[in-house]
Amino acid sequence: MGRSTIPPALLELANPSSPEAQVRALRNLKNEIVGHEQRKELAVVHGVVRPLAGLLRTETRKGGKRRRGGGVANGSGREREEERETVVEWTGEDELRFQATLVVGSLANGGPAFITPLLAGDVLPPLLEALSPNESPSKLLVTTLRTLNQIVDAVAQEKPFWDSSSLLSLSVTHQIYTKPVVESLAEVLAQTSRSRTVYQQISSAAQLITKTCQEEGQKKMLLDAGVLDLLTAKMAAIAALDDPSRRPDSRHGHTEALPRSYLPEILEAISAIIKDSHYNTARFVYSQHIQSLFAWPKGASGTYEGYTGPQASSWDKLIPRLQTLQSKSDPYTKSWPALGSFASSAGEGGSYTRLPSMETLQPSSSRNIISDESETPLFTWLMFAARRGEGRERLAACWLLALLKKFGERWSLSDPSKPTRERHFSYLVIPLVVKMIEEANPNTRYMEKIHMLDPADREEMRFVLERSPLVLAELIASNKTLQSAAVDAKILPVLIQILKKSFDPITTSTKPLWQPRSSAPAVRDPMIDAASSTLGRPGLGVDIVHAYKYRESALLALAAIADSQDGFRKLIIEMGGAPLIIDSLVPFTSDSQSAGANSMTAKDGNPEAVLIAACKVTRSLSRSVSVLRTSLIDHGIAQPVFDLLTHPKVKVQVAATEVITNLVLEVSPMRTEIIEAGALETLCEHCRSANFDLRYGSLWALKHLCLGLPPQMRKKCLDTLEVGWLKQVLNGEPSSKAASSAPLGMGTPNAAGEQVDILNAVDDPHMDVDEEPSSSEDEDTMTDSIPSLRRHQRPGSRYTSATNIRDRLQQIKSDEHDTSLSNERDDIRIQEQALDFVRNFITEEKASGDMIDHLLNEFNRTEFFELLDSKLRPKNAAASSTTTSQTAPSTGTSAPSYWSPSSSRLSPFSTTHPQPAPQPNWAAYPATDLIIATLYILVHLANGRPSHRSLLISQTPLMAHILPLLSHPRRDVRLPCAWFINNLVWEEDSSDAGPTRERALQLRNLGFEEGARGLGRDIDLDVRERAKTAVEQLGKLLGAGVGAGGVGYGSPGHFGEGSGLGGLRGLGGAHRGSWARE
Amino acid sequence: MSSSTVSVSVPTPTQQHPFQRKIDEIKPSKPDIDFLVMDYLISHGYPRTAAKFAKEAGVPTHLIEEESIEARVEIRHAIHKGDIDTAINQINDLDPQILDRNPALHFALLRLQLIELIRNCTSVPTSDITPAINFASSQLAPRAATNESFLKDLELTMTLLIFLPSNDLQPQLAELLKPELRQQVAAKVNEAILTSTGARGEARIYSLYRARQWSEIRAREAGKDLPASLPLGLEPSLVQANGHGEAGDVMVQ
Repeated sequence: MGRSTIPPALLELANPSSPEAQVRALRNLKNEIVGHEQRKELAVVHGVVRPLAGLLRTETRKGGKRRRGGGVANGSGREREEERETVVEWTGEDELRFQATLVVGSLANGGPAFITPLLAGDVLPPLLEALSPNESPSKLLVTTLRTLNQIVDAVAQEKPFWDSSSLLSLSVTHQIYTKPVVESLAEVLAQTSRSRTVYQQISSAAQLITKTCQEEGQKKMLLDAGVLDLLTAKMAAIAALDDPSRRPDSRHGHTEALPRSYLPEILEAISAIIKDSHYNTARFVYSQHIQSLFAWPKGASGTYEGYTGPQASSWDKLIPRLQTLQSKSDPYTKSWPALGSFASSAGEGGSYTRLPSMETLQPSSSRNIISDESETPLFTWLMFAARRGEGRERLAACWLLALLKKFGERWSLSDPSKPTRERHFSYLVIPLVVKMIEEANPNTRYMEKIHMLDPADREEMRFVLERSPLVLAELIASNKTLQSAAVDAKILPVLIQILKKSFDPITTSTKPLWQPRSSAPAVRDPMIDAASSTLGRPGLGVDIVHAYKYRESALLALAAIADSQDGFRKLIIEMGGAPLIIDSLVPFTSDSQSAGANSMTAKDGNPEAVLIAACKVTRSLSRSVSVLRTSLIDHGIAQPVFDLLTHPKVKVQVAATEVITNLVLEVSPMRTEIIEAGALETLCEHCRSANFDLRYGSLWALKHLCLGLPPQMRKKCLDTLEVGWLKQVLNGEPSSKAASSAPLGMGTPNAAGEQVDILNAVDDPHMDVDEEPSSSEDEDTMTDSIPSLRRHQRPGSRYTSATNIRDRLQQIKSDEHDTSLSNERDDIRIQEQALDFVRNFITEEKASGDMIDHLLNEFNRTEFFELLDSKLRPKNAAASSTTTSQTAPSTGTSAPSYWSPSSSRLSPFSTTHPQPAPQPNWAAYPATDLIIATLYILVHLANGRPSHRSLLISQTPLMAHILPLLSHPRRDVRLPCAWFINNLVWEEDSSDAGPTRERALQLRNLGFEEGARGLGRDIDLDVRERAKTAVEQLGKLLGAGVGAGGVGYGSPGHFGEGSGLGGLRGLGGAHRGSWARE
Repeated sequence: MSSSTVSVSVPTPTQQHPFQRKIDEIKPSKPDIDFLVMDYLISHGYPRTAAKFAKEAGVPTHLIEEESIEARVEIRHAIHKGDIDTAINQINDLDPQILDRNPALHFALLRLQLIELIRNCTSVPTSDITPAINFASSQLAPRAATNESFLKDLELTMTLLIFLPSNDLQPQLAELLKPELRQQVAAKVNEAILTSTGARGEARIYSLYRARQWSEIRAREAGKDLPASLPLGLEPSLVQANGHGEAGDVMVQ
């Protein structure tokens, strides 16, 4: 067999003499090409693809018919089915297809270059057609699935190209995600025979789903075809074997469960489908299989105590009770001695009055901080699976846990309290993942031997390295306690090392193969189809793809750690993270792609995913003013980020914009540099992008940019942005107008705050002004920023009966899929930015009022006030209160109970049932965030010249609509009201005394004096103090005569110029903190 | 094998060690033991024995899939016989990925084949050695250029051409002609096939055995009260198995 048999084999395939000869030819061909890249190329160039596709196609048809006929004859019952699979004779055609499929698989192993001709030769459709278990023999089905996986694997090595339309991956996934194919996959998964071949089919199908399922539409198809449900059933069957309440003798019994070695594939496929979709997650969590196995939720009572019942707690036996962790021998106690993170979180958890166990919590004796609360059984089992398994299985379980945790933060079911969950995660899950990252660290000596390992092990190690930091990132996202837990486990230096390693030049293990003969340029046979006999572009080396992947995950993990705590940001910088991050911000350019695959190293720029991850870390880091002012500027972060603003991929643009948002803040030393580079123009241009995220992010950045800019620049900014555009945004999209009449209660503050996607909330650029003394305001906004805090106390979160579950699913579905809802939400978010932009536009160091004049001139005064007014008055009176309690709890009813920890003391207007009280129907109002943003514009307008104050007071309808807001349940609304009154009665100088008195009188007539008194009794200290000053000033102005005005001015105890303005500026700062946090 | 050295030591003292009593108290479940045995039989390719055992022990038989076990047995047999061409053919029929993605294994097989070719063409003094050279240049040489150790292996193998036939080979070269080399490669192939079908590469008993070794070492390090020796009862049979091959050799790796 020394000589190549390719040409004769091809000859036979092109001119078949007999089926037997064809099979023989195919087998020879396969043996020739396996393991020999050169011969694969030769075969393709000689035109093997067309005849292969032809064979697959014709035989698919024949085979299909035959088997369908046979299926009717003996296809009854599972036993028969099993029998049929093995008994049905293996025909010559089957063998032919089988061999052809194997040859395709071997060609695909050659990498992306081979996929191009395979796709051009239409090899994929017949392969996909062969996926139905009813039509293909079992053995062929396994092979087909395996070949498809090989094709998908090869595609994954594709180089990132600018022109995404030509991407192979698109064309492959496009062909896979069609109704018949997905249905066939469902059929494959639905098989229950206990044979290894079927197991392999299921596992390969699950892998195929994991590798390809990324987009929303694909997930939906899989969901609709019942794939998620089937996978869930498989998982539940495996889990059932671990059920402690099961009788032990049935362990080897007649169960349909797959062997446990297939668990990772199943978990990964489930995770792929539920990721980024709360609705899909809900479908998983509420599915029949999960419900019945994990007895969740329990019974119809739906009481909180329900789930500590005997059956649920039997699952608890699977993981250590955290109380017992204090035994000396336990390694966890040693590595987590202080319980510090828990204690700190217990403080936060103080607001969880719904949990009886939390009230009995005694923070003083940390050894006894024990709540008897258990995790939900599903979580318990997954934690158990993570602790028991290793490698892939462990990661898969942790990954699913992370996704479910995120879901629980948004749509809490019978989840335990936040501290309990944090405790479980930080003691039982985080250490596992941290350890995996440490072991996967490519710098350790163990990893140097990686080339000695056999391929399966090497693949697994690579997978662990690529995946474990990502899992960590997802687990600790927006949770300070867990972030601290990860850092306490000393993961930061490891992550930095890993990141550093990813830049090591990759020794090209792909030395060119030696060729026995000098290769003469092959003489092309004109008869051979050119498209299917020309190799495509070579892909990236496996090592390079690997380096990119783990670089991305390490960056994401760093971003998650640096998310909210300044100390960690500094640590990352101290450990030398900054230069690595800068290197990660360099895009892959067209120059680097022209270089051949062999000369390519991981240092030649980064693909999209890495750029986005690098932007995320940069953004996290830039939240720290001190890091921003020192390390980031030292390393010249501005330029690379600015360059990414104009990256061809919009996702990268969005990520870069979010960084720029933090870099153009007034406190940032890079501000000038970025402005000079032309950021203003670019951002204004992006405000008109078709992509919402880019529009939104750019406007946000402009808002920051605008603050403190010299008036000339500001005016230029407004001009470039165009007043007309701003008006349009402020007026809202027409679609939302229509939607707003639907009284879904979504126009309420919690709706605006509760974004569909928690990831977005995390993504929101926010800036912690860390020099700000932490005021009560700060703390409050912090609570706002943790979605779960609000969500936990959402009334009616116990969904127990089947009907309730259906309602719940419906609610989650409409929240996620209803486009008018999400449009409205988007609209509110961007309006808020626009309002804030206006506010920052008119904010001045010296309240000269010039900017206000400019704005009023540009805007048309009447129109402007009408616009502001529209944000402060109830929407169409038709918006009734009847439905608000159904879909989502209206703010009016529930806000007091969960916005403010001290709600019980909020007596005057926070009665839990607002119906009896003559309260306005807050649900009919625009989103509270819009009210607040608008009020702050008014505060700043009132801070202008005296004439502006008079102008404001003369806006009777506007003023009339502000009055009821004084008794708004949220202090965030009442506070600017107090400031507003305060500023209105401010006396500029002695010549202003008369007009000020005039204004005070008008205010009294409008009812604001009474209102201010009300605020003076507010439960909130800030509001109260502010209102007291106002009341005092009003009293002075109205009580004494005109002459007394001077006295008022002369006693600046509470309200001197300095305190007034300074206070206001302080307020601006504080509020900036809040808007930045979102 | 480290434990066998331990096991040869003095028999346990007459008075029973508390640890031994503990051991006696534990009753391993029969289904578990049966399962282990089945697992061993299947992964080592004894389909008929497995079927009989299953019948006797009443173990569910669904795991025995004659076809795949049979295939593995045939492949192993072919390698042991030195019929590498057939072996490669059959491996590729199972799953071409096994060799496509594991160049080292593929190379090892091809080298075995080369050794056979050399053995054949040097057995008769007058015969032609071109088939061996052709084979080496077309099948092995392209791969060898990519990897240092491949190249060394190939060079070493080619020197056989010079020395054979000979009764006095250097030990290094003599290694190449021993059946152990075939057995080693066959074991690797068996493992690779098992892994590719989603099964564990080795029988579970091995990992149990290693776990036991490990825990004994750890326990002794920690100064736990253990009997001086903890014989497994496996050792003598192990030695035997090593003598004639198949079962034992995997153990020795």
